[in-house]
Amino acid sequence: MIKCEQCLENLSAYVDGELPEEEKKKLDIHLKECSACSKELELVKAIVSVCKDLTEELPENFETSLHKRLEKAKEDIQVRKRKAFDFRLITQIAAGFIIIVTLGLFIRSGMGKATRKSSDSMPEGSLRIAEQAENMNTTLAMSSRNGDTAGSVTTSPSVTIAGTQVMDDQSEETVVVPESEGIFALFSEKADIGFQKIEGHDTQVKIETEDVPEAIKTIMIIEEKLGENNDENKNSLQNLMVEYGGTREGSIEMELYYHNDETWHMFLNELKIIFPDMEVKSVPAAGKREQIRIILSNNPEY
Amino acid sequence: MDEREKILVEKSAAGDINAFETLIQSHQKKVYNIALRMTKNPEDAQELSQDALVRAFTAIKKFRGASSFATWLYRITMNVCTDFLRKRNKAVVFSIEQPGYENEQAIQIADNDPGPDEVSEKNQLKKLVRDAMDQLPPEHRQVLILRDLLDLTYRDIANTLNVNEGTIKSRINRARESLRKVIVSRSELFQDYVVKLNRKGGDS
Repeated sequence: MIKCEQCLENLSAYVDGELPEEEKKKLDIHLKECSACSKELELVKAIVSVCKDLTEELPENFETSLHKRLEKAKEDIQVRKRKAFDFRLITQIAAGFIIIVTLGLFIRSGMGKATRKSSDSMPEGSLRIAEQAENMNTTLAMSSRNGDTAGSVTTSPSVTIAGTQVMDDQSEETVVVPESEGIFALFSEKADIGFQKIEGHDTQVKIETEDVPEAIKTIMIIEEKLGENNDENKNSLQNLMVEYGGTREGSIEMELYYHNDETWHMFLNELKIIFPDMEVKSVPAAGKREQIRIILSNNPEY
Repeated sequence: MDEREKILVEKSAAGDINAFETLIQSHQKKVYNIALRMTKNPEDAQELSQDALVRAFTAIKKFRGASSFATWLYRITMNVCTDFLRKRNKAVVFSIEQPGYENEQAIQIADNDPGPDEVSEKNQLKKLVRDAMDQLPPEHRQVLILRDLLDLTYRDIANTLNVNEGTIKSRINRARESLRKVIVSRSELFQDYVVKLNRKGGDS
């Protein structure tokens, strides 16, 4: 026998046909004997019957205005695609930079032999970047043939990219990065670019995706969008610094610095809409500034 | 996901708007109704439901078919709506004089409505229940919308909201209990309806 309390707890599931057969039978017996509970059942049924009837028709212009918005969204995507970074190349560049950093460290430690050895195994394009980076040039030329270096370097120091804009109208083989300050933070020791230091925790977001470059692109689009909404009309990349903390095969870690709670909130909300399954947790802050660490992975065990 | 839906998803991912419109044909009214009950306002509902549909279109490449397309779409819609409510409620906090969205005005309006001669009893009942639902906190409205308006199973609701089925079961029960309290305490009309419905042997 069940008590009224138990009956009332299960009343909604009973009405919805969501109770297992055994429990339903017990409830049936109780309801036959208890007038208070069966009165309650009548009420719930009545409420449900009205609730089911609350659906309203679409407004008249709904489909027309939706169609216009879809057209606009498609157009925006195409414009963004034209303007957006070529992330395949960016990833390669990031890998190239890691090699540069390694190279730089070798040179500084006077390990000429190690540098030579390292450069022997490097693709030609990376070496060209490395040479130019050493000279602190602002324009980088890079061959796109070194695609497979991204996965091969896993433990090098992190490299910071900020204020970068890859111009799409350059030839495929050449990428121009006009702002060198952030990129060469490790060389020029201008790591502090004016963000306020906030003590606390980082927000770690883990996203599993089948298409890591596409996910990066999406994240950058959100970032770009938040930049557009910024009152100061700044390019978002001036507000959020992207750091490729390390690359490994099939996964990438990005770190986005934020300097106010609003941006942080908006960014995470946008991200959640697109990646509803993403995992968010607070972890002790890794750097001087609070940041969002985004780990993109196509490996469930990552 | 059936073959037809799969093809439409693929075409939509390639930017085919017509395919996407076909894909959402049987869902857009539900998306609108989710937004309508969450925001309690037709203008906001149109705006937000279209936001959700546009986002689904731009993000459809990310849809991997782990859940049904409908579940995925409703989840986006709920996220868009809760995000909107969070921002709106944040704005309300700073305005002392502005009446809250959870106030009791809506129910009082129901009592002042024209008599049965002008508006059907059914419509009054609907308004009564709708207004009572509007009083509930968003997490209670969410489950009632998904269960009663969209007719989802507890399992589908759990998948849509990313919480477990047991939580859904108790949340729906609590939501209906709150709804019942608001309705019964305010209207004799509803008491009459209960009596009539049960005389007719209604079982819905």
